[in-house]
Formats: sequence, structure tokens, C-alpha cells
Amino acid sequence: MLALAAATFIWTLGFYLEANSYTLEGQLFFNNIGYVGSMSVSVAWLVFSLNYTSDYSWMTGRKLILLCVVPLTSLILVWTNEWHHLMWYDAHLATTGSFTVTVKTYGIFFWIALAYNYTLIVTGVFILIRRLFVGIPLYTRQGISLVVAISLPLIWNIIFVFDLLPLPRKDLTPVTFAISGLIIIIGVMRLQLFRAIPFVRELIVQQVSSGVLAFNNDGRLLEANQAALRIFGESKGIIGKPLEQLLSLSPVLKNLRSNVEGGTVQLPLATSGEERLYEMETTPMRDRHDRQLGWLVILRDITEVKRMQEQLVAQDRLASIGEFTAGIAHELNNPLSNIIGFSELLRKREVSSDIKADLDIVSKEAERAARIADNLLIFSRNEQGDKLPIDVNKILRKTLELRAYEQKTNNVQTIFRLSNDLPEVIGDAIQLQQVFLNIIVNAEFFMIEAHGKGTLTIVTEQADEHVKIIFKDDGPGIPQENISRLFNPFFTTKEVGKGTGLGLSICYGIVTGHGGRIWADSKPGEGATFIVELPINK
Amino acid sequence: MDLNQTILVVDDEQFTLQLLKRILEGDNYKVLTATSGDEALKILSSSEVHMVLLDIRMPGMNGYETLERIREKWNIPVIMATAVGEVSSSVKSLTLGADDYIRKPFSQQILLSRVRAKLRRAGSYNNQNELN
Repeated sequence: MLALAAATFIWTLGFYLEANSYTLEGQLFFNNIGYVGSMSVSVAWLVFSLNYTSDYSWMTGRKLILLCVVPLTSLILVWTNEWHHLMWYDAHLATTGSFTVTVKTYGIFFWIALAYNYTLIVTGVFILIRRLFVGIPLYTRQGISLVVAISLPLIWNIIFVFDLLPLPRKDLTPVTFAISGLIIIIGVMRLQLFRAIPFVRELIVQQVSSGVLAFNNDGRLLEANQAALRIFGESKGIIGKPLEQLLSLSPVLKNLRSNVEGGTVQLPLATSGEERLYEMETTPMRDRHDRQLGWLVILRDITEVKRMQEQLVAQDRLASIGEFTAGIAHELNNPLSNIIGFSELLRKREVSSDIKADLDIVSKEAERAARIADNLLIFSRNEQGDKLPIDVNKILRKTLELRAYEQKTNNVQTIFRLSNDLPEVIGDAIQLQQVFLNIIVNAEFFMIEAHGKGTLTIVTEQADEHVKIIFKDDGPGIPQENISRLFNPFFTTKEVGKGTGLGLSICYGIVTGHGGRIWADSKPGEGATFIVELPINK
Repeated sequence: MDLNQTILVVDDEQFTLQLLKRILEGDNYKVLTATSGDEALKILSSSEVHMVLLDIRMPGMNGYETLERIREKWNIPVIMATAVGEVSSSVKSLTLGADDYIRKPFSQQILLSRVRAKLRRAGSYNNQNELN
């Protein structure tokens, strides 16, 4: 663009000085300077067109030099014209109106140079037309403005050289170039000429975060963008190969076969070790005559969206169960406090000792029922406290202090393997302690029930953007069919009265409320492992 | 204990009212009862009351609303009755102008000692006002 402007400027300058010179030598001299500009304009224009449409990769330094051969030769010939007259001969001054102009007859090489320049300019126009007139209104308007801008000087130049109009023989092409410049400036301002340039379309396909793949009817891979290559851990080299040969793409092939008409399926892919869920959208690609050329496959990573949806559903379910539970607990609370209160009033009266003993039982049992209601209330409450930076190791140690006595009397041993440089997490310390306590008490319960003793190992470590807390016990383990139900509300394997089935579901609610994950892993006979993952405080 | 001290007990449940009435009368207080917030406000307007024992969970006007209405006119001690384990309700009660709270089920000893303490504090405050 800059080169284009510079060339035009030199041309115009030469033209201006020529017009203001009144001797033949002077006119010829400045005319020759003008040639430096006019010869480079066409090359600059072509380079500009290529740049603008992003085909510049074609333009290598060597090709540029080749393109300049003719203009340079012309220039040498222009400056050495008086010895060979290849460019013009028979130059003399003529006065037309107020202008003094040089009249000359062109030589053979002038016509060669002219034809060459026209070819370059027309090629540039053609490149622009090909890339810009594709039906996108913005591009079309940009294209029109550019083509008008370059055609104006071209037409004027043709008129001048072939003497088509009965006007003074004066090359006004540089003036029309100035008008072109004006049109381009308007284009820049009105049509964002240099903002939405066409190659953006290619960049979109390459850089969009979804994986984009295109196959032809023979199942050959035609195109794969960067995201797609990343998904399958492949390099650009796979483009062009038949799908059958690409082992990593076999899940795509399988779905393609069952979805020849197109459609959307969910596709789990275990690339780079971790399984992620993708939405695979298949669309048949057709040409203008509705013939199918192949398929377009778009892969969107919906792992997080899915996880979030599941969390929302689980939280929703927990919230409604929480409300329901809280309601029951409250309803029970009033009658229970009346039972306790009236038994106490009765015991203060003059009654026989056996009645007193019975009243004690009534009172104690009512108190037990009230404690259960109280527990339900605590479990059902999901109040979000203040979230502050937290040292997970510290909370784990504090939680274990609460269990130290119980563990000692029940032959349970806890081994800490805590990371020394664990990053902090953001959270509610009391809620997280509730989670850890719940997991620890569960582990104790099942280990003691199975062997009357046990060893619990607690590990903390950093895993990418998360802090991972692992609780591994040597209890009886969890049967596979129960693993997926562990966090469901009211699911319990403890005998009646020993568990509400709410503990782990509350843990689930708290951990997901912290943006984390909680899950269990177990091989029967080898104990159970609970893993809590919490995002690091950034 | 001073027989002139009158306590208004507000609860929608008859048995709870009976229980509280008997516990407090056992400690020689005069007890008035109301089964709703509206009734409580009427009694406060017509009788001399030294303290209110107010349940939070009531149909119609609940304990918080009743407390706010009481505080618009009266400066007597109010003790709120909350369910066990509800931290937020006790905090809310105190914020809205209650002087103390008890949790249900309550121990009769604790109830009576809190009532005594609040009345004693209110009494000394009134005496000081008179002195000034």
C-alpha cells in the first residue's frame, strides 16, 4: 500500500514538474522522473492486491524481482532513449491552450512496457474480484470501491496513450490516481476496508475453538483445522489421508457411517489421556447443483457445559430435598419439645420412683428424636458462608483432631501425606471441614465394622489448576453398583438409624458449590478412595 | 419473685403455650398468652407487659414481623424461640431488635434463668432512668 502511494507520488511529482517546465529538455527530464513512478505503480498494485486477499504467500522475493525486470528495463531505456529511441522518438514541444506539452511518437519498447503494466493491473483487479465478490455484502462493497479506484486511472491512461479524446495530449493519469486514493480513503472510512479483509474467513476456520473436519465421499480427510488436530493429537500431515488409515479418528468414522444424513451426536473422546465429551455435528457438503461432495464435521467440547448442567441438576435436587427435610425437622421439633417439657413438669411432681424412671425414658427418647431432627436441619442447610483463601492441609489437621480420641479408642490410624507447597483454595472453612469430617467418619465406620480397626491415608497434591485431596481407607470397599449412587440423597448402606443417607449428598452439594468435584473409586476388598478436587485460588 | 412481672407468651401451638405458662407460673410470673402476632399486639396495647416470649414459626404474621411491630412501639425485652441448629434465625432475631433467644427443645432451667436475667437488666435500666 505504501509502495503504491509512493509510486503514485513520484509519478505525480514528475507530472507536476513537467507541466511547469517550458523547455523540451526540462519536460523530458521530469517526464523521465515520472516514469520511475508510473513503472512501479503496476507492480505495487499487484503486490497490494495479493496482500489484501492474503495470497501474498505466493509472492516470494524472487518473483518480485522477476516482476520488476520489465519496469526496470523500461526505466533504463527511458533514460538512455536518445541513443536508441526504443521508447520514443521525434519529441518536440507543442503549445495547447495554456499548457506547453511534449509531443512524441512512442517506440516499440514503450508498447511492450505498456502492455506489461496493463497486464499486471488487470491481474490485480482480477484477484480482487475473485476473492471479494463471493456474495458477502461488505466484501462486495469493498471490492466495488477498490475496482472503481483502480479502473479510473487505467481508463484515463488508455484514453491518453491511444489519443482517444480530442483533448490536449497530456497524461493526467497521476491526477486520476489521486482521485483513486480519495475513493480508497472513503472505502477505509465507510466500509472498514482494511478491517474485515477476506482472509479472515480462512482464519476463522483455522482458529475457531471447535474442531472442524471435512471429508470427501471416499472418506478422505480434506481439511482439519488447528482445534481438530489438537483434539486428535495429530499433525497437519494427516490431511489427505483416507479415514480408515487414521486410527485416532476411528470414533468419528464410526459416527459418520451411522450419520450419513447428518445430525448431532455426543461423542466421548479420550484424547491426551483425559476423557472429554464432544458434540459431533455432521453436515453433508453439497455443491451448487446439490451433488454431495462429502461431509463437514464440527466437534464442540461440551465437557464443562455438561458437567455444569449435571451440577445444577444435582444442586437443584439437593435444594428441594433440603427444603423438604428442613420442613419435616421443624414440624417434628415443636411436638418433641412439648414432650420433653411436659415430662420434665411431671417428674417435678410427687410421683413414685418407677413412674419417674419411665418418664426419664420418655424424655431421653424424645431428646434423641430431637437430635435426629436437629441433624436433619444441619444437613439440609446449605447456607453459603464467607469464602476466603484456605490452607486445605490445616483444615485436614484440625478435622482430624476432632476424631483423634474416637480413632485411638477404635484402633484406627491416620497417615498424612500432605504436600508441602500446596496452593490455597477459596472456600468456606466450616463447610469444607464438614465435607472432610463426613468422609473420615464414613471411612472409620466401615473399616471398624469390617475388621475392628483400620488405616486411613490422606494425601494432598496439586493437579493442574486444582488441589486434590485423597482419602484412602482399607475397609471393605464399595460395590460397583453403589458407586454411582453414593452421592444420591437418602442413599445409605448403614443399618436403619445409623445414617440418614444425606452426608455424602451434602458433601457433593458443598464441593460443587465451591466449583470442585468429588467422586469415589473402589475395588471391592481393597478399600475405598474418595477424591475431592477444589480449584486453586488465583 | 415479683408478682407484678407479666410475661406475654406468643405461640401458635396450644400445648407449647400451656407448657410455657406452667413453667413460668411455677416461677411466680404472671403469664398472658397469644396464639398469633395480631393477638399479641392487641394484648400489648391493652395490658401492662414486662417481657415477650415470641415464637418465630407462626402462620400469618411470623415472629420476625411481630417483633418489628412490637419494636415500633415498645421497648420491653423480647426473647425469641428458634428451632435448634438455626444459626441464621437467631442472628436475624437479634438484628431485628430481640434481646435474646432460646432454642427449642429448651431446658427449663436455661429458659427461666434467661427470663430472670433479661427482666433484671430491664428493671435496673428503668430504675436508672427514674434516677436521672
